[in-house]
Amino acid sequence: MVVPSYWYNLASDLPVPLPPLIDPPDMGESRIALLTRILPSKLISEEHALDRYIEIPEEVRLAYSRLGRPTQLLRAEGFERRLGVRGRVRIYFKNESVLPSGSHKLNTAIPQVYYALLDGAREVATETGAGQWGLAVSQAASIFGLKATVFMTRSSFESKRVRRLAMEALGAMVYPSPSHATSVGREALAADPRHPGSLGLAIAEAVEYVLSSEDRRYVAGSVLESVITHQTVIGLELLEQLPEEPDYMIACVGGGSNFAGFTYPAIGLRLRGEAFSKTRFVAVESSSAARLSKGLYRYDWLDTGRILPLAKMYSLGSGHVPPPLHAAGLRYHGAAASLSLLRRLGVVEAASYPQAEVLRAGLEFSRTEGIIPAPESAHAVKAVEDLARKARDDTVIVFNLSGHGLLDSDAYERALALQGEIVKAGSGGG
Amino acid sequence: MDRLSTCADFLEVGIPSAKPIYDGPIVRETHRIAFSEIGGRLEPLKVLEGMDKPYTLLAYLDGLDRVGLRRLLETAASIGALCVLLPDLPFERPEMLNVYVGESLRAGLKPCFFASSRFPHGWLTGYSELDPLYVYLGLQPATGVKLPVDVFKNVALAKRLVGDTYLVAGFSVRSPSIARDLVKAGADGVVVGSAVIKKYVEDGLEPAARLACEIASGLRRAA
Repeated sequence: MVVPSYWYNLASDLPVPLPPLIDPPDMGESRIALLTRILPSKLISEEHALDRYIEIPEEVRLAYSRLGRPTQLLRAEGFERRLGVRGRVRIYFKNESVLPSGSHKLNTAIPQVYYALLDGAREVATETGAGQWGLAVSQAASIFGLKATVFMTRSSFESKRVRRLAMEALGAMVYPSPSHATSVGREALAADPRHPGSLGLAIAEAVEYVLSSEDRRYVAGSVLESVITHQTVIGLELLEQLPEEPDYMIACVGGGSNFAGFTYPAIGLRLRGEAFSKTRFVAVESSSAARLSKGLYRYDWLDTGRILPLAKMYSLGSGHVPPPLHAAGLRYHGAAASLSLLRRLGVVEAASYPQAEVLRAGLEFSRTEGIIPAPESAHAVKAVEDLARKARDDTVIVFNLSGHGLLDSDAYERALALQGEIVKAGSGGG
Repeated sequence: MDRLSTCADFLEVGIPSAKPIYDGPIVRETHRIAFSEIGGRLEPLKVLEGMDKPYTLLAYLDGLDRVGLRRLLETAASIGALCVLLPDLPFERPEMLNVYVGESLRAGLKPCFFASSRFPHGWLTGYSELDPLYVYLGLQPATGVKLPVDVFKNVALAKRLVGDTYLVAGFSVRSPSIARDLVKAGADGVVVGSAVIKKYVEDGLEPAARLACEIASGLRRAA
């Protein structure tokens, strides 16, 4: 099997058109026009592409291949046995955790950093929650020879020390967000010196940082349709690997790129009436940031600082600050426009789980498959566990193991403590 | 308006909206000024009656129910407009598509449709099957805003999808060369708005009219 030559653009097959980004009603300068000063040019072009398939540049394909794509689809036989469903339910998972930065985030970090390089940028900047995205950007920047600056939500900056150090080892500059490096960060700190940070706020800081110099570009970890399109490399590989059509496809959701990348090629076939007619697509979120389950479908700001345009999406409100979570990558206030539309249309279902249940399921998976899932990915594992136990005979479940949890020892320290396997509870997280 | 439209083949006249969400700063300002003058009333449209150029109207569907839509379309037909383009219909009220088509035909108008650059292919082919006056492809996410989008590639694909249907391209068409290249890519016409208005505001009527004529001549050379 080889790395796909094209990404897939689901918008071409949607049953109804995707609401575009808009400027706020009372704008001064157009936020949409501002994108040209923030994002890599080619990313903007891909964000507004009509094509169903978008060619992957050869340099990006080579980097994908060099860093471990295609990733494997594995059968979770041990987990099936542990759940007591072996012989009745077949569980498969796409293993994105084997990528060198430990998660699917590298799939879009590579093209975006490459596109920044094409624009003549010398530095990329971004936000990160748990650090998976920041680490992926740091790695992509190191490959293409650019400097990386990362605004990491303060709660994660303090709890995910090893991932922060890994970014720094790759040459990145990492700020805790809110930080004193930007005006939006200083305002947040003035209002609350113990502000835990949020992805929306960290985005605002990164964007402000980029706008302060001509040779910087912002790279986006999720939410944008072009970012989601890059992640479809996962789902396109999966179509070649699946031995049978699943009853369920499951992935966790923060902004939506992991879920979308994993499912959209299959959803596209479903929408075109070609396959996957029986498959249920389940998006799993944290009950602390359940935007698809409890948010409102409306135009809302992409960032807390209100620098970027508005997208129509399920949102908890751009000012929403979820409590600190081990799965910090799931703390974003909204979900990507296309994913929100699919949820609205009933093509995608949403489920949410609290942290303690998720981490316990993550431990179960670790002890049967030998892979410690990232706390974000453990949400998908928890949903698999629930659905598998209730499933009828001959059910097929496939989920995306979007990342590993080897750098999330704080989360599993907490989980082990909750199970009474260690005495001392970990820091952070509720 | 007569002077600005000297070189145009047809005109698109916007009905003022309180929430012109797909418009950029320049056209939004025209909406703001015009809306403060006439609000949502349709009577002032009578001034368009007897225009010597073919023209269409553009209106935001937001706030209009079926009765309001019928009244709008009937008014449009009564003053000689050829169709009423509703840019927010496909995104905000897609379920209203067939209602809009039916009400347009009932009023004696042809439908005309809006599409964006990231748009379902099935909708574009579906548009063409409804025999519209034209399909309007918005090249950019907002009027008058220029992002590095491969607009020519999008136009070429859109034209393949709509077939013989008249395809016009708009949003950020600001020079004769862009107009020419859009036609070469497959557009049958272009719509120019923000560029001419900006020129009018900054330099006056004659330079704005000249720009409109230069763009029109660029387009005709390519045709």
